Amino acid sequence: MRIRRPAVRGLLIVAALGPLLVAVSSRPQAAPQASTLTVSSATDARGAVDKYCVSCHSDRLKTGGLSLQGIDLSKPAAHADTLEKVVRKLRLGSMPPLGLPRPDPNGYTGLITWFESGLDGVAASTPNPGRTESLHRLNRAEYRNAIRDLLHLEGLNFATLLPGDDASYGFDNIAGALGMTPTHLERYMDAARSLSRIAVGDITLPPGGETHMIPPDLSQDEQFAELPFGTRGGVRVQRYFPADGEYIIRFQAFTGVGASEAEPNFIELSVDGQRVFYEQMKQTPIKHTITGADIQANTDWEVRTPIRAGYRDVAVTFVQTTAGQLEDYLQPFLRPPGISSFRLTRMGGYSGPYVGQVSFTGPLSVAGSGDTPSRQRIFVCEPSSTAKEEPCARTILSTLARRAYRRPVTTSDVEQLMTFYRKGRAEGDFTRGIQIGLERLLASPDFLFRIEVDPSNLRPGAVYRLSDIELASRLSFFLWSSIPDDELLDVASRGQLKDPAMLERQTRRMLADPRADALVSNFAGQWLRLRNVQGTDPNAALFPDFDENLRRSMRRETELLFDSIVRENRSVLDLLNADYTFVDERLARHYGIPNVYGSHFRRVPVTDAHRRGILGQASILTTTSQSNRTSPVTRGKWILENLLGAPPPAPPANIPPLDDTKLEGTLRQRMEQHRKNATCAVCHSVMDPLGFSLENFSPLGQWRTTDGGFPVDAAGAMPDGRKFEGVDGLREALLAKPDLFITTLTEKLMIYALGRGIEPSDMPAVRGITREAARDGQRFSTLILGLVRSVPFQMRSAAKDNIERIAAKSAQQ
Amino acid sequence: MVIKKLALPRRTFLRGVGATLALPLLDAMVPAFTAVGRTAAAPIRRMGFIYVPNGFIREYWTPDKAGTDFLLKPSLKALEPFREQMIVVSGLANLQAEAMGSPPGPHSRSSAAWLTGTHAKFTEGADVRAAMSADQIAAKTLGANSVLPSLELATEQNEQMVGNCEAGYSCIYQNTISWKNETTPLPMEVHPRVVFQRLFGDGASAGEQRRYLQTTGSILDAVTERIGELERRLGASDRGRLGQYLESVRDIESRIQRAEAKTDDPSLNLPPRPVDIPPTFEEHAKLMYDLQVLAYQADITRVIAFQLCRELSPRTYPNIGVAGQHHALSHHGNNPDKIKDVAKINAYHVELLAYYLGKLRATPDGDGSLLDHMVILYGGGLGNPNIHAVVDMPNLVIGGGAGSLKGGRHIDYPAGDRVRHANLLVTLLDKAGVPVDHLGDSTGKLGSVVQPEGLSGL
Repeated sequence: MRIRRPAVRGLLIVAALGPLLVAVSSRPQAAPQASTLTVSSATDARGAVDKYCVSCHSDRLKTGGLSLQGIDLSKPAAHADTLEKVVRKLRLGSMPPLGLPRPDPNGYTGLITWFESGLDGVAASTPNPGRTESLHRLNRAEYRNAIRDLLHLEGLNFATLLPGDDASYGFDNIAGALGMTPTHLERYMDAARSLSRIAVGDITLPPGGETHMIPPDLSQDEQFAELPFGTRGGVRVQRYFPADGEYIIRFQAFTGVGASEAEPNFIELSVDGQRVFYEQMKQTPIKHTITGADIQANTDWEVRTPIRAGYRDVAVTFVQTTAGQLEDYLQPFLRPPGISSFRLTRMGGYSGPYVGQVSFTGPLSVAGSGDTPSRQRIFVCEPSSTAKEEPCARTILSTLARRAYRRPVTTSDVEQLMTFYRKGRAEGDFTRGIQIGLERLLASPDFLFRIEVDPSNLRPGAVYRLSDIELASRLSFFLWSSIPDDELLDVASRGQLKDPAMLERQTRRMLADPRADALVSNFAGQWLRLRNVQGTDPNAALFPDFDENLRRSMRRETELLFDSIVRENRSVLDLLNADYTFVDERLARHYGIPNVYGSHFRRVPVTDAHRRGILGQASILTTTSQSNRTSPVTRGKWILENLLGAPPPAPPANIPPLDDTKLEGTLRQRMEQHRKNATCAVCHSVMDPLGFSLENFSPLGQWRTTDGGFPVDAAGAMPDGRKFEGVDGLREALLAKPDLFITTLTEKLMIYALGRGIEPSDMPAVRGITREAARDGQRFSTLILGLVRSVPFQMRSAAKDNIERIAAKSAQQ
Repeated sequence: MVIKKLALPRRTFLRGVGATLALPLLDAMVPAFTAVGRTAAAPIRRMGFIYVPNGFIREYWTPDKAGTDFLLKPSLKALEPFREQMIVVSGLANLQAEAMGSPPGPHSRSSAAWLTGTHAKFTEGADVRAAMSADQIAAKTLGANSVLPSLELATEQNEQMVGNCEAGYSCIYQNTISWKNETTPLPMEVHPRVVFQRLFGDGASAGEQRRYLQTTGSILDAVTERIGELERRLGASDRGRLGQYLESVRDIESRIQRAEAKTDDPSLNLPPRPVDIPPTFEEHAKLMYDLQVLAYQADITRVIAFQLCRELSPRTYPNIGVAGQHHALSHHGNNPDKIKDVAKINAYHVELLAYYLGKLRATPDGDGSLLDHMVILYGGGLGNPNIHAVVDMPNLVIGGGAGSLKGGRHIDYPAGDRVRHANLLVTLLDKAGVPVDHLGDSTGKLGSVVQPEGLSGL
């Protein structure tokens, strides 16, 4: 059964995404078709434009701020920006507005092709690669990875080392948005000091403290995949210990509601899998109280233990005494409705033993620097006498500088570092010298910024090919969010990276490297907005079984799907249509997939077609919902922005207020009443039908057939008017015109790869990449290779006001 | 930056922070800091700016009557104890947040205009532009001798807000309210531990601290040299970023000088170093307020801008029984339930403010309390959120302003007058001893705030 949609819906569909409303014919869907259109010349195109476009896009009306009346179509170069806009609308199929006359489908495609080949021809003869700013600061994720690759340091908390980054164009690695403020500089100086001290194994480092809070709504009822079998709950902390020495580990552990001496729980602390502490949990006076204050005293445990320097796995967990469900709660992750305080959550809703937080203090009674990967990485030589110290320091620092600055180092680079080495050496020992030299290196603009300098003697705005060295950094920051490794740098230093075969070889090698995980966490994490899963907080009264475990599993599923596309070099269309997915027991239960047990993720075939691809994944469906209901508008907007490349503008300022009190019926009916307002309809008539097609998914992405007592109506429509039913229909509609999705993905990849917004002048390159990918089954690596080979990636426009011109000017004066 | 020296035993706890459990031992032993030259004759002037997003519900906030004889409505109820040190200022206009021909972006613009009185440039590129914000203007004078001229704090992390910015506007416009100059927005720190460390150092000895500062100083000299080299190789269009860089270097250098000149005050007891970001918003917000009290108390900074939440904040408030997300609810469509929910959020934010004010009042400073000497502006850039109104926004002026402010009043400007919000900023700066001719679109000072007795502007 379905709610009849009011007839008005058909009348108000306006595909224009521009800010202006177009008065639309009241004739419904059956658009009158003209006779066959053939476009093979500017005259043909002009005829078509005059016939189908200019009635609105005239000099007089300028609908949507656009006139196509006076444009000389035989000169695409002169009107590239405008024509790219036209092409985008035509590709989306949103123009002319539904209900108005259109060319026949072949003619319509022909018109697009004619425009595109004109634009592509211009780009081929006069390439315009655009220009990323010359100074491109590393963002926090890149800095963290660079430190990992430069110094083999992992397990440090970079959130307390550096400020977070601002995003533009949907990504946080945009050169223009990465400024340098006193706050940043202050933190970079501090980071340089503490990282250099940790890396060299400075045994005078004052003992530090660090606490890991465990999210309050993490259910610890089952074994975690990263912890040993036979355990339940607890936490694993992967952390860097700066020196061989003793550390105090404190943790909060609660016995859980209703625990008794007769059925004791046992807690275990282990370091790198070796048990260092094992004890029976004491009975603590846990009550169902609101204050929680009286239970704090008996919950802290403290262990002092020697730990060797380096990156270690610390686990605090419980021995699993029974595989059975806790008897007092069948769903142990149920939260009491309407309450978020974590103590209440734990006491009221969580019944098993759990770990609250873990903290580390140390090193105390330091035994030595230890043999850490960092020290091995840094100390490539060891001076056997005082006389050999300087040459060895020179070797160490120039090796580090080459990697950190991502280029061959100059004498002056090394001399600067040596000055600081000598300062440190005079204060202390050889290690101190290296530490101060390293501190200096990490504070250098050559490390903190990717620097692209125009070659001298270029005319302003001239187009030039990046050097191999610059290309190497572009490649490594794109694929790894990190610095080039030695092999890439070697190849680039020899000038071989520009060779297409070598470039392909390096790209494929880098894609296969574990560091390419950065594409999942940084690219997909932002493109698909997976990072937002962490901040979601569905209403506990409505969704009492939502917990941190589910949040993590949701995000992991989509990450693993994206990862499989990268690793297995699959078609990127599998993102929409994969017949497999990745689940653990928690997520499988959420979806109703049977026979999945345990907390490790595994690949499973998708038997329920609704779940194929990201459109059926809880991560996306949850982050695009409100905390207490679905939001078809948000979901529709998400699809437009991230899958169709047609972001709707923000609501106009003079928007008449929506009067909720005058709307009635289901959400769909209310939204339809809302769309009676012509200004709203411009965008909502496009967003809403896309979003409503996902209405079978609850705010947490669970399948449903009714909502609020009404049967779900999941009828939807594409911006080009194609109608469909539900998520399956949406998926098919997207796959029927895959170029929209592929183009959008390519655009997003290009923004991310270049660290700048894309311009109309980049679109020929985007089309080139998608065409190439289409010839190879839309494989991920083909998209990446196409991008890496593209003009915007390989070339750069010199500054319009480049240095020679300034020099010339000052010479004149 | 690491500043301080002497270690102290733990004596007090940060209140409202469950996070002190299982504290690493050494974190409790933190350094002490500087004596503040507080005298009754010359009270230290301090300013605070606190931003709340997504507009407000006037009916639950704005007193019915102007003047001194008014009742506090539900949203402001928690401020009853502070009534005599508070001025409710209604009816001002954040006019630069209007579209003025730019594409839609009311949240970005209202946030950027709140302390700058300037129209944010429509861009996602390197050319973001607003103006030096009131807090930074204050910091230039009030913070001239502070180790940290100002602090910029928030509670919401950027990386959990992907894709939640207005189309075509850089996220920075809603991520910060503080602008060092027209092209340099300042990042806001959310991590309490970082704030603590910036204030009180990492526990190193005095000798070590001195060495840190010296090394940092000479590294900065070298960096300056390198920036000079780059400047010669890069064109004019790249110099903006280099200039920003160089200015930051100079800024840090002078901070180091001030830090080196600073002496210890062993009489101050510090709480344990905060650990992670607390799991609940309330704990996080209270902790950030605690740190602000400490920063003022230790006189490490005299100006703080705090964004309690940012525009478009999708935060949910289950602990006060609000089911929806703040921004979504704020477009309430006149639905009474949603209106009530937004008002509840407004009231809750104000309760957190009352917590902070209580601490400021309880902290002695010279001949009075910190609160007596402060000028605090609490408010946001939007009025009626349902229509993105940029007039009649919520504004509270709190504190004694060292005798320059007289509270217990409600000043209500007629909306039709479109009195500039920036006039309030100019007025408050003046009250805090930072006279400026104008700020953004200001047209002058607000008479009634300047002359407490003459409520002529009402």
